Amino acid sequence: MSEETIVDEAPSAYPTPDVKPDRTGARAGTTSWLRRARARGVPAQLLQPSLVLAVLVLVVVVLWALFPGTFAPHDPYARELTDKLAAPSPDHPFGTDNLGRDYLSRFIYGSRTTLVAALLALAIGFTVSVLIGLPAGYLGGVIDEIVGRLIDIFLAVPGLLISLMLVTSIGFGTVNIAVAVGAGSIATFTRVLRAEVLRVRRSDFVTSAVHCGVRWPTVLRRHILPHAIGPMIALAALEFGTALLSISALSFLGFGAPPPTPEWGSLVSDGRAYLAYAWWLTTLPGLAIVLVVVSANRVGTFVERIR
Amino acid sequence: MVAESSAGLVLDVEDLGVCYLRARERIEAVRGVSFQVRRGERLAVIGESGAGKSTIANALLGLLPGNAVIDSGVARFGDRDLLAIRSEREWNRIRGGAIAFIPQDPNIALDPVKRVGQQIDETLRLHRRLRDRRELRRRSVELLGQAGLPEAERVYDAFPHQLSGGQRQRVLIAIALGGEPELIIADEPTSGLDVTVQKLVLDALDDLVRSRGLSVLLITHDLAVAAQRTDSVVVLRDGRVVDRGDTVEVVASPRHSYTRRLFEAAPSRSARRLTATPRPAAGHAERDRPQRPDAAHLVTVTGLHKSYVTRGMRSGKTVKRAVREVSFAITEGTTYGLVGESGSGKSTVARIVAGIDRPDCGTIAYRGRDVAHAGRAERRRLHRAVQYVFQNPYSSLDPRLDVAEIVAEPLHGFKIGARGERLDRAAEALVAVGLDTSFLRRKPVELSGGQRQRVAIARAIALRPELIVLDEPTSALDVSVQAQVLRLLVDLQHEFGLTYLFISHDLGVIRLVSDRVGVLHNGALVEEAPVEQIFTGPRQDYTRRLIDAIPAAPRTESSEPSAR
Repeated sequence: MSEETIVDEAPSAYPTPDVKPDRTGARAGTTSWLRRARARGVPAQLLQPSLVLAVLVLVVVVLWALFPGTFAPHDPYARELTDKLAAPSPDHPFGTDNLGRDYLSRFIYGSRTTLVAALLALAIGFTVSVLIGLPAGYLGGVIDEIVGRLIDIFLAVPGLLISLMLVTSIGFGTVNIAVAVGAGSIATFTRVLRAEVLRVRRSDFVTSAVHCGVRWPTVLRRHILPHAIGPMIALAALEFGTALLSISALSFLGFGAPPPTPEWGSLVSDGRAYLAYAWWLTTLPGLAIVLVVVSANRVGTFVERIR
Repeated sequence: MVAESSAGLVLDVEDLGVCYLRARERIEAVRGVSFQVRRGERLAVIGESGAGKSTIANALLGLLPGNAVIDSGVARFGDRDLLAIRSEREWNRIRGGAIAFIPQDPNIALDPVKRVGQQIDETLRLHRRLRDRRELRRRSVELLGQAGLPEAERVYDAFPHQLSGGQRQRVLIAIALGGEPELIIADEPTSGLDVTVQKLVLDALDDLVRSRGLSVLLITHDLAVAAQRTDSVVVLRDGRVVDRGDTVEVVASPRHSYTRRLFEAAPSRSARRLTATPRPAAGHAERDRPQRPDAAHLVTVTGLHKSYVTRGMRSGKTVKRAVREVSFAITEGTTYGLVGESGSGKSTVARIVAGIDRPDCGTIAYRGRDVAHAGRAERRRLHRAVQYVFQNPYSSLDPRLDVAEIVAEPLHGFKIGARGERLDRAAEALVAVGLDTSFLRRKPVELSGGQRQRVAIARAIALRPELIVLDEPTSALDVSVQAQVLRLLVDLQHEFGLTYLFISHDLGVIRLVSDRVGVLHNGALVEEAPVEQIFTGPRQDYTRRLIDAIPAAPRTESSEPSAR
């Protein structure tokens, strides 16, 4: 009896008339959960397997950063000297280091510092470029000339090099590398924003607002920023991966937090000394970083495309 | 027109139905459309935007976008059904060959990096299998001549950017002729051109129809073109045929009420100045409309000059003199119509009078005070009294704001009233332009073109200005909507005692609303007179040409009853 009711209700659970059973059946290659999601009306462009995978990776990493204690199998600082430089095993998926610390736990705890630093870097790049690019693009004239040439100069030098120069002068530490990486991305953000502002500035509705007596700071906030911000957000999504990579690189070079605090870059760096007989200490965190950066880029390109 | 037996049928479309799939919706674009084109016949498919005109053209050319589905219909062309063709290869043999296409915008339809001649040669090579270079050149130049281009040799060697819009459109006609077509499908072939150029292009097309016995399927929203240049007409509305028949008959006595409204809405040469709709409850003082001789000049423009400097990579500094020595005066409470073709400098004048741009030299006296060289505070005061309505209501309203915010923007900008008061005044302005207050919370995307332009007008009157500069306020609108907006403008003028500077390329529209008219040509004011004098006794050749370009009321045209 109850079985029958379930069968009866099944079609109404997927209330999409135009997805006919025979058409869904034709997509034989897709897994069943994808098919179910499609039937529930989730837009097809959200359901590309690579995108779903990328989002999954990022969600896991963000959860690690938020609740490292819940996910880490061991204490990241606990030394187990009897078990040092152990190869990957079910108990220690990333193996252990020369002090017998569980490397996966250290990686999970390291995701917090690294992600926070990347977000901070993005926030700095984004905010500063809005403060510079918006008035420069709108007001034009000498200010715009100066900003434009400065962008050209900064873009001529690799961002990482700028960050490196900055971090050596302002000192070491996680916040400092975040500031340095953020500063290195200002030029990229400003260039995009300025171009957008130049485009929106010519719109009739902006001319109209000016003619209606609206003062320029209000015009910027009300009419120009909302229309110019779209490409910036797409760029921020793409830049997130780059920022992660730059921060890991600076931390690898030893500019990050002092030991024993785990950071992704320093974890790779720490394992370098044992590369000959403990390959996992560099390779596994390295691959994990690559996976996260690629996932961030995948999501970034998606954001850029749907904008 | 020579009478033809039914055997001379070139194209026979029966029960055409096309719909577009968007998201999960089926949008019906064309439904049950049937028509025939005979040899030597010019058939117009007319209708307002969204009526399905271009869908029909694209269906007949195999150019429908990927999300379009042909639901029904047969299109017999010779011995084949066009709608049944599936292979692109087969289409390539027909398109540009037996069926030629003249696209809408000549500015983007030609390849900018190839010389014009090469682009005509291409057609001859593909469809006529010509190979010899000298022969190709000879034939191409011949085609250019047939398309009505003088100096065909020079045009052959020119790049598209060296030609004017009208010349480019005739190049496209030459390309169309290259495949020796039986049928030419022209989608709005002249809508981007000035009226005087439009005449040249259409004359060229007419000559070809006569000399070669071509058939033309003319897609147009321009009723004047349809009335004067075609033999029969199909009127579309929302994808269905509402009226059809011999052009002369349809125009003279339209059977369907929609057709009648459409033709009544189009300004013609015999139209008169609109007067305000009498309103019994109007508590405003009656104003005698034709200028009172004692009325003061609100704005006096004297010796206006404006040049634009462009710095090119190769050409160096070029100075374009947009406006030269323009002087005129606008009497308070009247409409001054400024007419000219594209590039004549009329928008430049409009922007200077509105205070958006500054002139190089010359004065603009507003109530006797020069504002062209005034300081910031003075200009701000001017902006309060002078409002501006843009040509394109799709770009002049910020899509992110709602109507209430848009209409209240000038009040906000000039810090007039408290928040609640501004909303009240916005609502008031909205009601004045014929929209109810339910529109206040809508966004521009939810509005039609006519409603958007009403919102723009509401924004302009919210400040209670004295002068409104209207820069082609109806040229982006369909004729029936245009008629409504023009009537609204005249009513508002009466109600609020407004003064208008009305810019248009269409002398027919100018006549409906203006008291005095200035004719701009190449940046100079060539003629200036009261509106009736311009029409009854134009002194300049150029003015006469503009008047000739307005469609005459079709029934006054000498036309024998059709042979059919």
